Amino acid sequence: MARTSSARRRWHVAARVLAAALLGYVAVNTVGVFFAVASPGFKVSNVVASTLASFLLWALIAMWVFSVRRTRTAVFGLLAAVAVSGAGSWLLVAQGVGA
Amino acid sequence: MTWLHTWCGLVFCWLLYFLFVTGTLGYFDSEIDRWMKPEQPSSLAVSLNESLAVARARLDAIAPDAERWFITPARGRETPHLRIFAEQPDTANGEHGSTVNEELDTRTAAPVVEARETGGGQTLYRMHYRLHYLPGESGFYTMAVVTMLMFVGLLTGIVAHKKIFADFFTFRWARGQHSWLDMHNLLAVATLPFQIMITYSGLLFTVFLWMPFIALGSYGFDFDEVTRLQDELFTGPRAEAAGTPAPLLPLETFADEATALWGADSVRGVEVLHPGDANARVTVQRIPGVDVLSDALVYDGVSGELLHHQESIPNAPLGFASTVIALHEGLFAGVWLRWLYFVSGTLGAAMVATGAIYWVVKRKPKTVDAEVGFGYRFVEHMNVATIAGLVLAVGVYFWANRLLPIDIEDRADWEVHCLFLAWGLAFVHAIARPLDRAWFEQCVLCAVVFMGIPVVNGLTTGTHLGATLAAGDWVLAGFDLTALATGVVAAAAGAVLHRRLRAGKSPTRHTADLATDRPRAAG
Repeated sequence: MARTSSARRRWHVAARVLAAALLGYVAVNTVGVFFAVASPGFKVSNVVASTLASFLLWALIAMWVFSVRRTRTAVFGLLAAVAVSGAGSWLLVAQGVGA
Repeated sequence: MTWLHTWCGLVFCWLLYFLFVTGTLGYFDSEIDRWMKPEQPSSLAVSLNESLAVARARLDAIAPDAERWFITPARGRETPHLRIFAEQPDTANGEHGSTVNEELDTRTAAPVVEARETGGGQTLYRMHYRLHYLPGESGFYTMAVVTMLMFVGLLTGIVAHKKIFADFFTFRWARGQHSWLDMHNLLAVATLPFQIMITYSGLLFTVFLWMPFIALGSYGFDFDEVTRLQDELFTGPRAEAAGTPAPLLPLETFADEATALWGADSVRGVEVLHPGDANARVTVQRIPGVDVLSDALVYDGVSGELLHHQESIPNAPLGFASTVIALHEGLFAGVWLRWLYFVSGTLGAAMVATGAIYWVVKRKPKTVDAEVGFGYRFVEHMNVATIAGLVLAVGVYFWANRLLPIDIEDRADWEVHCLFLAWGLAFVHAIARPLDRAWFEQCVLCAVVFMGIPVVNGLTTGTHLGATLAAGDWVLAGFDLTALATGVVAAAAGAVLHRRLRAGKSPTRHTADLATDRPRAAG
């Protein structure tokens, strides 16, 4: 019994590490693009600012992934963030709104 | 948060410690270079125009048809000697043109006397982002991951210590586990602004590697557009060669104008693009300082007309990035600020070390017959071999500089091999000896090696402490004195460990564990 719960725990840790590293990275990029193109003002500045903030955002995402109670909250939360910001960015870039 | 902090910290703590130690030494890279080239004459202050005249004569003679020249005048710390660089145009089949790199003696207008072949401080400094033996960019990638984990470690560390400022004023002396935690907190909080700055800016060096997709995505993955914008932001449009020869004006003309604008001793370097061509461009770069990040004047090299003044940074976020990167490199720092950087970096290394030791001490088996896992033992011994062993290895690097035969082939490489051989032996030693003995013996070795540095230096060169102190040469004397001080600190640590050994009390283990450790080592 103890063994299975320890194995389960390992799987959950591995899942969270992957979520924070890979999904987190994708989320940082889609959210970053969204803010770069959706913010008002000089676009080049917004792109640079978004890129500079990306490391902080990634670190905060990693902290969030490890602080939520359920692993699946973290995974689905990140997937939702990627979907929303990705779709928003795609619309803005494809329609040339932010350009 | 504590869990994330622990594991982000532990997984790469030894690499992080290596990064801190070698990077911190980098703040004195030029000083270490000088100590490691004792034959080279100390720099001779000459005027900017003298430097430029000597460089121009040499470049006209050896590389008149180069695509680009770069002249770095002799001006003390980073460039004790006049340095010239020339790059030939790319070949027809697209390969990069050959380059020439020379240091010139302004008195003789010839290349400076070759010193012993040495890696110098530059090799030490480069290790902190390239590692040494890893091919190509892989060291850079590895260090980028380590830096990201350090960043998460810092932020989670702040969150994990809710009473961060109350804890800062708490120090429980000689209370085992608690003392290590308090020391870890004290070091981290005292240097927190430095740690955040150095880690975040360290990440910015890798920003194009890590985070290209925000820029690419924002422009709909239009690579040409992004490249064009990048050129616009960072380099400005580049003049192409006209193909018709035209005489280049004397470089002093441009230097005089820059000096009139910026004041004396303000020119970092002069770049000449297409020398001898009708489209020659001369760029005079200003020395970055506390009041200026970058500033350059671009001239037409034939007519002498000022074409462009790159004074301002194109936008605020980029200005922020360049500021943070300038803070990381600290090139603007004078001698006292440089020491502050050095001390902050050393405290950073100590923060990593105390964190790693706390991990071990906290998990110390509570009972005599408790099973000690492989992971626990591994961390225990890795701590000795890294925390004490790396310092020892750096000392050996300096000994190698003085003791390796001067004419040995690949001498600079062998200096580094000596460093890593010594470090490897420190690992073997740490595994072979009982833990508390290993700590004690490596501290004593560190003390001997570092206190021995001024002695070895005195025996093998004329630039010993007696001579350098008398001459007021604080770069060379400072090196020997710092080595001596490092040795004294290691000896003090050794003395504390010795007292505990005699009292039968291990610094990191119960007495009872020693009994199980000793026969294992003996058998």
